[in-house]
Amino acid sequence: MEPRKREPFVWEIPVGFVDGMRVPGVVFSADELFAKTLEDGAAVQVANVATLPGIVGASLAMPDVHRGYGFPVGGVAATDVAAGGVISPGGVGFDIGCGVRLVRSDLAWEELRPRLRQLTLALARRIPRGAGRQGLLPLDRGGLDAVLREGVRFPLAQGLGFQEDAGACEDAGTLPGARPELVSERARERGAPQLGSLGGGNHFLEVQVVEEIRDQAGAEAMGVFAGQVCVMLHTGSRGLGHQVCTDYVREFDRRMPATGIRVPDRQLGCLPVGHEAAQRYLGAMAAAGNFALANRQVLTDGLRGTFAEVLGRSARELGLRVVYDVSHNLAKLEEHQVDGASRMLCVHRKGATRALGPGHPSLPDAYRAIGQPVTIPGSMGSGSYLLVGAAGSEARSFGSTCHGAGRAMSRTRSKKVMSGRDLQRQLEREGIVVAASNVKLLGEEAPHAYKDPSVVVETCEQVGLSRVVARLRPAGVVKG
Amino acid sequence: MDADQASQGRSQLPRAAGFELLEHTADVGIRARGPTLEAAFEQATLGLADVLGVWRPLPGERVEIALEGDDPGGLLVDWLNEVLYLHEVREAALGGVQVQRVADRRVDGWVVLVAGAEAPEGISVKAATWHHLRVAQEGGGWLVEVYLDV
Repeated sequence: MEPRKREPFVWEIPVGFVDGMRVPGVVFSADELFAKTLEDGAAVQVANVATLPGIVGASLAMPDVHRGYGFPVGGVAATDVAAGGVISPGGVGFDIGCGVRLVRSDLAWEELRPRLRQLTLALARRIPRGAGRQGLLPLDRGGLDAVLREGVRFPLAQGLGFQEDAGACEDAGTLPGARPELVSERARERGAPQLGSLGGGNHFLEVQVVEEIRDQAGAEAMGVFAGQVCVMLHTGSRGLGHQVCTDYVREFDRRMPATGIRVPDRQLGCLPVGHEAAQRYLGAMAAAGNFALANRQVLTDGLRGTFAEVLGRSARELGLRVVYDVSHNLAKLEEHQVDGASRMLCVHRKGATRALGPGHPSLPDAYRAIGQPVTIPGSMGSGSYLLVGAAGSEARSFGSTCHGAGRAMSRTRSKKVMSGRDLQRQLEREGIVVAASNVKLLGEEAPHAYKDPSVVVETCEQVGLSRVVARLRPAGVVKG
Repeated sequence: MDADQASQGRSQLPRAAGFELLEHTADVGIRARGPTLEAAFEQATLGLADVLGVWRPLPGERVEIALEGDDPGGLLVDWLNEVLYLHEVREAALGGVQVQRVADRRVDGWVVLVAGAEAPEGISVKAATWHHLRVAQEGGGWLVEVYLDV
């Protein structure tokens, strides 16, 4: 029952690899990365997910997969709702709705270069990050309810952003089915002050430069050109989402035994989608996802204001428009073809990104011909990528692709390889300005702790999940 | 706070700390031991404070914690998530911890919250998870293991 290579870049973890698997595991991986998947325990986690009731097709792992806590990070699992398929809060994760937003500009790199340090440091002053609680737009109860219900439409109604920003977000910036009343008081207490803050860990804001265009038509549709300055934003639902997940993982753990479901890891706790508690989770999860969308919207307003101050032109004049905003930690009810029939599936994407192919009716008009944009952050010092969903993603991965480079080394080991201070010096020598809330911790997020993002995105392309449109390099990094 | 207190406040965790941090590709695990289950819970709490970089053995506000659950492992996750919640919403460091009693379905104890302490020196923790959760008797004492999402 050993994993085997089924075809180039596609590895199968057969049923029987762990007890109770209902479907095989499938890992999309370059040969050189698959050994790591086995070594760090991610393959066992892929197999564990394959035991979930109602799972269809396979328990999937994107090329950036690595060990998580229950579900692997980089995992996709779809369950058939009508066949008793389950939803698992652990399959979404604690940072509900965490995602990446790319903002483009009309600025050419040569124009910004003399002001890069000034801009990066100004962004670092403006953008709340690290452990502090206060975001750019602290909310009262009514405001928080509106954010949980409306996502980006609440900050837009406050004048924070351009009206067209919503159209450049997944689900037009508002996840359907949100039920604010199901978000606990504790989650509200954690989240209300934090709207418009990056948080810590691997969250960041990065000024980037488009280094290479690989798909001219795709780039033109997105308003992206070589030598252009862009800004990438990676953050999520902050303490509010963490608490929603904490609340429901605990409740599912207590209620699952009565359903007769058994899972190999308690963090995989799950309930049938039709279960009353599962329905409540879906409503609370969508509300937390709306908080994450609104969080990135408020931060976008903050960065636009900073660009305008430093460069002396308005955000409109600078052409600071949202290219796309998409989450990589969500579960969604979606229709997909299974064995030739259309089925309503609950698609968990835990560290994986929805990647709709060209022609999909859910796409905004501007992107319908090219496919859904997907932004893949590299790590400080290594490039990021702008992709579009490929036609094959629907059949291969329920319309999903990777979400980042994927960690390859523990935080402890990463710091031993290079200290945060030394890393900052190295990046500065390469011309990258780094503002970190805690320089000592910078070493944990060093490029050597991650897989090579180029291998990850090229594997996705080979398998037919997504295509590379452009590569971006970091110029100014503001770390959470 | 005077300079001496501040210096004391930055002091490291007790030298004989009964916990160790476990390697994980993305997250952090805590393995804690104690002669009693209560002591092992306390050591796991110190492990959490170490990861967050918020251990400040200074006077502060004592906050009682009483939680109910279904088993000792679940109680440990709940206890650590309670400490995390208090740390976050009070913007407080941790100045002390005592776990008075862990029964099958209940844990009682307190933590000391130190407001206005220096900024955390560690990493942000989203939650204590149920992944590979372990509570076991070992060599006449107790061992607990828990993973944090960071």
